[in-house]
Amino acid sequence: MSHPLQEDLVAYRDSELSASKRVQIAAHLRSCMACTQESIQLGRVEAALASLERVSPSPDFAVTFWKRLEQEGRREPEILDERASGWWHIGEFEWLTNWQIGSVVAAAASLLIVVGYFLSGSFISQRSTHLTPTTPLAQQASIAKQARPNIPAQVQQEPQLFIDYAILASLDKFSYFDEIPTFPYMEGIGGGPSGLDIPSALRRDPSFFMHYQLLKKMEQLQYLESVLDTSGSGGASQHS
Amino acid sequence: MLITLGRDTGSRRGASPAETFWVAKCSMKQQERRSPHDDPDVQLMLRFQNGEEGAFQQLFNKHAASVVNFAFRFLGNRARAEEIAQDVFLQVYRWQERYEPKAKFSTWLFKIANNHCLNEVRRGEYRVSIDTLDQPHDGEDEAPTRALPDQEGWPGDELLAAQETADRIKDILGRIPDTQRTALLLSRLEGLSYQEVAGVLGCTEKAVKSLVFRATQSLRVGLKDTLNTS
Repeated sequence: MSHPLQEDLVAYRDSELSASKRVQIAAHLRSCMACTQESIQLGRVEAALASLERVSPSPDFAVTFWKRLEQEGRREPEILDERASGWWHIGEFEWLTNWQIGSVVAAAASLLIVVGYFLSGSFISQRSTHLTPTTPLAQQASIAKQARPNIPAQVQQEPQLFIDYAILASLDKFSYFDEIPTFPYMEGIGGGPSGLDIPSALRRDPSFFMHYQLLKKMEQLQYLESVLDTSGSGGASQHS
Repeated sequence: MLITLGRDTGSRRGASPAETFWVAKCSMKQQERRSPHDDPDVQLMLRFQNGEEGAFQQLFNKHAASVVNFAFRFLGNRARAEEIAQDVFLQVYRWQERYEPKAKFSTWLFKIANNHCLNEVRRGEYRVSIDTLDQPHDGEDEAPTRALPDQEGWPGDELLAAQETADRIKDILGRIPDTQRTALLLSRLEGLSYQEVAGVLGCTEKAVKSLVFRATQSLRVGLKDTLNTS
């Protein structure tokens, strides 16, 4: 047998080679002084590494842990916590990248704001009792128009945007929207906020598709914000 | 299995009975390691999933020191390593319902620990601490942390040489790529198989073999003087 690769020699010493290869290398080592010396040298490296102290946890380690567990153990992971961000690389979330995490956070925030708005007194109390989840958007817009006469005309004309108006009005409540990075492939999304072109990047990777609606929503928000800004007074003054 | 062994060994001539026995043992080991449910820690985790808190306590007691050691070797900062280890077990506790026995429990545990350590390193605070570990800081009277086993009775020269070797190893560990460091620490110091390390790193066993080799080579080069005089 020719000399084994050094990589195989390391794996041999770690007992990580297949049985047949291990037997071959063992037989080679019995007859090759150079490889035997090489193996001895690797053994010295292993011994040096093994000589490092194994630290013992400090005496209060376990006590501190159980105290922490009692205080925060049952709390769900804090996904906005920088230290916890790496958890998204585990299990079913392994495919999430940082910006996707931002998207998920934004989606959750949007949902909370929308739901919160419609459930809150700020809308229901001002609005009629006829509003239900099944109320057509046009009717919702009409109802909202009565409740908020200063809503910009463009918002009134596009009932779909009215839902987003609630989000916009509450943007100051979650300023971390600004921290969400700009995604490179968003530049490929053309046609303005109502465009339906799906970027090629999304077609290639279907896993992105679940975020596409969110990205469109964010883009729509930016558009709506610009509309409100150019509408002068009225609605714009409410959310600035 | 015997048929398989016959095929594996049939082409070799002169295999001794001891080698044949080793082949059989190795094959059995490879088969055993493929079933996560044979891992007693997996059984503990499943019992914990079913509401048995004592099972989690057993897992904590069994693995806490290993996780602290791994984090300490990875980060070079003992206090932070303990915090990380606590974070890891808190996460195990919180994620109990999501746990699926796809591999050995230790694979899952060290995957969590590795992710936490990587997050710490990427925050950029620990490169320096690795380099300066065991060095006294200005205004500190506290003796530096030792990184060697019980040193009582060691002759002075040997103690110094051993300390120098330990410092060099820490320096090298702090400089090699994260994946190499993880592969080396888990396989050599925590006793994980290449297969388990591959599960932690999310790569192939072949890639782990290469990572361990390259890390070993870095150590070998860095410790050249020390090893040649020993």
